[in-house]
Amino acid sequence: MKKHTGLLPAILLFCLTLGALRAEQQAVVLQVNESSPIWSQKLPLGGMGAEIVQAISKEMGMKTDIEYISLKRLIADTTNNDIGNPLFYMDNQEFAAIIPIAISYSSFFTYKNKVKNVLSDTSPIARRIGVLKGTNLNMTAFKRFGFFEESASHESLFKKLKAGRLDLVVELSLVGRETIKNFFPNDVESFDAMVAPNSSSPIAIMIDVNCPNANAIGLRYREGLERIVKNGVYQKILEKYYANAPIPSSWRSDLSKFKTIYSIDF
Amino acid sequence: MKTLGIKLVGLALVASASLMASGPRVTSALFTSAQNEIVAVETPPLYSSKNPNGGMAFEIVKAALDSEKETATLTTYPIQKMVNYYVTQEKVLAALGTNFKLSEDEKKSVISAPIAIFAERYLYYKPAHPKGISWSGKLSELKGLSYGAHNGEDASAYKKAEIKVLYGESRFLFKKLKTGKVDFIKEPVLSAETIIDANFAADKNEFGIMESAPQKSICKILFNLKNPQAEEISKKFIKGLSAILQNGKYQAIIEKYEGKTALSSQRVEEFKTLWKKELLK
Repeated sequence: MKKHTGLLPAILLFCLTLGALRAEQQAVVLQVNESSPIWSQKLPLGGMGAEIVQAISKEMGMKTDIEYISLKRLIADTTNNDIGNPLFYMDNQEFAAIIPIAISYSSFFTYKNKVKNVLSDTSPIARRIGVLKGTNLNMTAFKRFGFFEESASHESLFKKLKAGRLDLVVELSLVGRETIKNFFPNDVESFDAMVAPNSSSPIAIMIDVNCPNANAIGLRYREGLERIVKNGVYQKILEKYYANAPIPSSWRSDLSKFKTIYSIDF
Repeated sequence: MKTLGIKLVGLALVASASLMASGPRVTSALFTSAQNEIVAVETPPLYSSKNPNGGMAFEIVKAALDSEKETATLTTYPIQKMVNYYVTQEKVLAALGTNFKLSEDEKKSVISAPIAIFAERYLYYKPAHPKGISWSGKLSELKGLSYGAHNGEDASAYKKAEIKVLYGESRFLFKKLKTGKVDFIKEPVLSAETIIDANFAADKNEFGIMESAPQKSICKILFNLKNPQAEEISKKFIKGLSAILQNGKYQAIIEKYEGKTALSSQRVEEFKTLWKKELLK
């Protein structure tokens, strides 16, 4: 007897479509931590990441609510849907779908000194490097790069840099530039920045493994992203947030790479 | 039934850092080129970015490379597929692990060498099986049960024995075990202790070992031929590993993590035999 090899995928697609239709009827809640200008309650449209998420949702006829919660709660909750760098979440939480929607790059920042001068310093032991608390994940071999000091906020990192208590700050490129602009508007030119070469990271929507219709929701977000990239909406959002600097040339290839890496069921 | 009772050396080295999810992920890769970067699934205390020395397997690799004046840094990822991607599609130097599921083409793009023999145990959750899961070592005796396999693991023998197979990474397989989604799992003894102590300390004694001799798995390093230095460094690694096996450094690293026991010494001897065969290839 001839096997109906096409039947199973067809049933699966039907089920996913049904799930997707149900998913449209209720808002998907994604939780995030304030990190202007990528995610911010203070910005009219919520920042670059929020604009991308809402553009995808609009394209697909979905409703997405972005909730801002404290970092402590965000990390402690292992049952919610998150947005951010998946590597920060995947150690403690299983996801049904991870959809990279944007890229973040990290930069080295200096004050009244060129980044390249600090990086090429032959006595790195004296180099004081500021990082956000909890982001220094790899202690191996770090001593040879300098002395690391943690700060609890973006603002305090740059205050220490300006005060000469740090020689170098490692920060997300967009966030660092925004922090400098907001807190030191009259001294922006005194800061130097250089994008770290191996620093691209995905900004992704992460759907918890136990979220109802998780797979269907994930498929809808993926499809929506493809559509807004194709119709130009995505590019307009990027240009808005990269108005004063070129969009990193590797953005598209990095996004493509991360879509491949995360295009799997977890 | 026995319960896990091996003293864990590496646990104190596992940091429980709170994470700043809105900041950059600061790893040594930011400051170095990918030429000497080695990747692995975060599995303390075997390979771990949170361990100052990178974990037992990475320490072995580092000691072997040190003896040939080479260095390497470790970057860990949460899932095996990411490690496979970086070692086959990018230019990292190498990957460490036990469960690489590579295509025939991907196999041609790496040079593989063993690093260590891990002792493994089959584990079950006692409240789900109050009478235990007793077996003599034949998978056919476990027909009808569910096995939690590691992502990338070849589980064909289990499927052949009509055992249901669910995949996951170690830390989630333990959750599946506790919630009854799988009946038994297999895990290296050292990482099992670490995962249980870190996540299930309150019911540590509820995890039981199935009656059978300890299993073994071979931890490998895969050098990535897309990295222009890989072939040369792999040759130095082979020389270096031979040297540390001979000068006692290898055994000292194993004993640092596992303690000085007859079983660990026996496994070091087994590895020396395996290494001799490897050199003859």
